[in-house]
Amino acid sequence: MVVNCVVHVNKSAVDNPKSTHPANYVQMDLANDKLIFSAGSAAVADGQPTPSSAELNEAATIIQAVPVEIAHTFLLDVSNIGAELREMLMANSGANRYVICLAFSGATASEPTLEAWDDDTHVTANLNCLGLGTPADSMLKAVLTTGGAPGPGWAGTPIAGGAAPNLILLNGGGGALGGATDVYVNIHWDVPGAFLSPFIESPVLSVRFSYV
Amino acid sequence: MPNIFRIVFQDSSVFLGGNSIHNSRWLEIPDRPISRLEYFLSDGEGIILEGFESYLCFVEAETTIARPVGNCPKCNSKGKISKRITKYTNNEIKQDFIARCTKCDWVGNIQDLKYLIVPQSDKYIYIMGLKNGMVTSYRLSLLGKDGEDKYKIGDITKRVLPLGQEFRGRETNRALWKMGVK
Repeated sequence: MVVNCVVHVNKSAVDNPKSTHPANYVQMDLANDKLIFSAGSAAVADGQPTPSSAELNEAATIIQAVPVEIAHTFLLDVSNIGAELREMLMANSGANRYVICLAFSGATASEPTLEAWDDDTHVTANLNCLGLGTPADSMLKAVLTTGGAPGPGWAGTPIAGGAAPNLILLNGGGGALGGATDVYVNIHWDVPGAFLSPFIESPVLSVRFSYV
Repeated sequence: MPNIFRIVFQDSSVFLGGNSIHNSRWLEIPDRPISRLEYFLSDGEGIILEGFESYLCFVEAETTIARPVGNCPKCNSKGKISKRITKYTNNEIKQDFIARCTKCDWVGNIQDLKYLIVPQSDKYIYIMGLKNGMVTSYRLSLLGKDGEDKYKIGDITKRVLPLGQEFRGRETNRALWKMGVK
């Protein structure tokens, strides 16, 4: 029986699960919506229309001498016409639990994983933001929060490619999912201090799972 | 549609799988010792596993949360296409989608993109048999690739791996395995 994985993001500042607060969540249209990570600006802010490339550039995170976390995560929700940018207020290194909900419709044949890749071929993870081929250096940090909130300032796991330990096991290492369930993760980006190259990149985040 | 697999039990009775990987009927297989699993391929040929202690077939899928929407038809660049709302008319809000390649500056309709990607895709079928602590795994590719990936639609990869590491170095769901003949 086919199993689907539907992605919902919490657009509110209320740290509650989708099961009890469904109105706080937006289901991602995975063919059209995107996630945008930005330092933010007047044009790149919650409730604003789709920003131009120039506006995104102006709102880029500045590389500093010390590591810096990308301040804002936005869902580009194409269905919210005229106000496509929705800030995901809890997608950061704060102690936030219910941020990204991965809703599985049934039991899986193996433990699902959250992975990051250069593109949809899922062959390489060599982008600047993914560690230039060294997965442990990935700037993208993720944490499984289904069982509880991460600590404030959580470090998480640098994710890049499809090999342990640089992926997230979505049942905490407990194996396959036994039935339909909601899994929660949080993510944030840490840009290393004095990183040599500025970049604009579009990695992909993927959930790999299986079913009988 | 033909059945995707056939189970022959030790008592010579038979169970037929469903007619698609989305309705395999694997969970409906009776709890009786299996002597042979025949998995049918679309070209009429098949993979036969026989004499194993237990069997498992499953599909590997991916849901991609943030992805580009396709390849540029001009330069075939992957991961550089963006899809944007470009204008609104009068008081009637109207979406006008275009696709723009940030590598070669091609601009066109979203329908012109090559290999438009679906949000959730089935990638591989795995057919596994367990014997003496080792899993024999046949992996059938379901997606064709145009670039770096060395696997094409229909490619079959055989691996023999220790139980517990049979799927990408990790275990599969033990509850889904069906018993063979000890």
